[in-house]
Amino acid sequence: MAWWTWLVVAVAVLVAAVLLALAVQARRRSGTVVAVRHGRRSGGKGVR
Amino acid sequence: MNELMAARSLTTRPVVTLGGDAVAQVKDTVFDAEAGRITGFTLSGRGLLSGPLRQSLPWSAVHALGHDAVVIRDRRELADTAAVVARREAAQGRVLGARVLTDAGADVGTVLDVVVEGGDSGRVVGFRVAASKDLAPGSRRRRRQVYVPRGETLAVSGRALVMPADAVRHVVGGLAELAALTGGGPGRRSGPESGEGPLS
Amino acid sequence: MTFFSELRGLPVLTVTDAAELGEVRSLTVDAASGTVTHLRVRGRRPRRETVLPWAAVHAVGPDAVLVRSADPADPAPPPHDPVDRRVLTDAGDERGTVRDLAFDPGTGRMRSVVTTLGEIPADRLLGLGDHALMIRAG
Repeated sequence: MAWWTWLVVAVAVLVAAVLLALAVQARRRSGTVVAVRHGRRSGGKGVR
Repeated sequence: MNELMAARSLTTRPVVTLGGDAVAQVKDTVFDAEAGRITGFTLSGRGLLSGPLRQSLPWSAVHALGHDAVVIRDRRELADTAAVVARREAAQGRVLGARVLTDAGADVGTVLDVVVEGGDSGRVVGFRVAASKDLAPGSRRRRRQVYVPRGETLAVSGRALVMPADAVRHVVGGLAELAALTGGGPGRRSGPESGEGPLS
Repeated sequence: MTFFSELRGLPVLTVTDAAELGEVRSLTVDAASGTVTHLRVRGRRPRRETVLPWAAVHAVGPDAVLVRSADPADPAPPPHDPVDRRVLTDAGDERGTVRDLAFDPGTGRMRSVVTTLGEIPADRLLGLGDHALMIRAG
């Protein structure tokens, strides 16, 4: 195999790692909408 | 009437103090289904590598919910996440994708988004729903999207929303019509929601 | 009345010994009180930034700014440059970005902020932070 094969593999692994990190990060920060039920808290901060 | 916004679009909106500092960004929007009010937001950090924050934003600390930012008075008013939403509730109360049924047992569709009012009211005015076949007849492959105004007695149970059957008659096709319907016109009974924010 | 854009790049010299400190880089403002509080000067040879209190300014001329002393401000103010910062109302809506500041060089009192969408009187300013210049909606 040519010497640069390893270089290509290393770059590919690096790119994959970066993409994975970005995907994980996007998932950690992604949000949703949550419904809660009224009056479940006692003595907590009231809802305006 | 303040601008109506899709709750999903609030995710990643910056949380900015009146002093102009961005302290976090919105992650989840939490609302009280019974009262039809936003109760707060969970937060994530603004940095490139930062994830969810331990602290959350209770609605009482919000100065205004705007098009480009959630303005808060002071970063010290951020509270423990448990004060806004418990972990168990967060897992159980996800409404996106939830089934919408009438109290007569008819299928309305599934929730795509929750429509809230900007400003300082925190009002939840309705839902964007992927309409079921019964509600939007027609053999189109593409499901129709409709806006369902929030009924006065909305129940959330597990993965479904139950709304009064008569509210379904008020289904509209667009956000502007929803605004006209919920902006203080007829059909809105005066209840615990009295504080209409006279903002901007 | 002076605009910051007229000041930017002017040489800054001490009035006592005519030593050149550098050129005007930016201003620091206190948005809540509507005043210019500091002058940021970038040195020429050692490219070091000096922050001078506005009270140290002796005169602002068309070709130079003269200061009474080269003593840096203590404590140093937060490093927020108002120019190019986004403008946000307290209702959470963006209103362009800051282009320029109009102020009285004698007192440091600001008259208005020039933005990409027009002029905002200084009495509507609420605060300047790392994210935005906050203004009262209206």
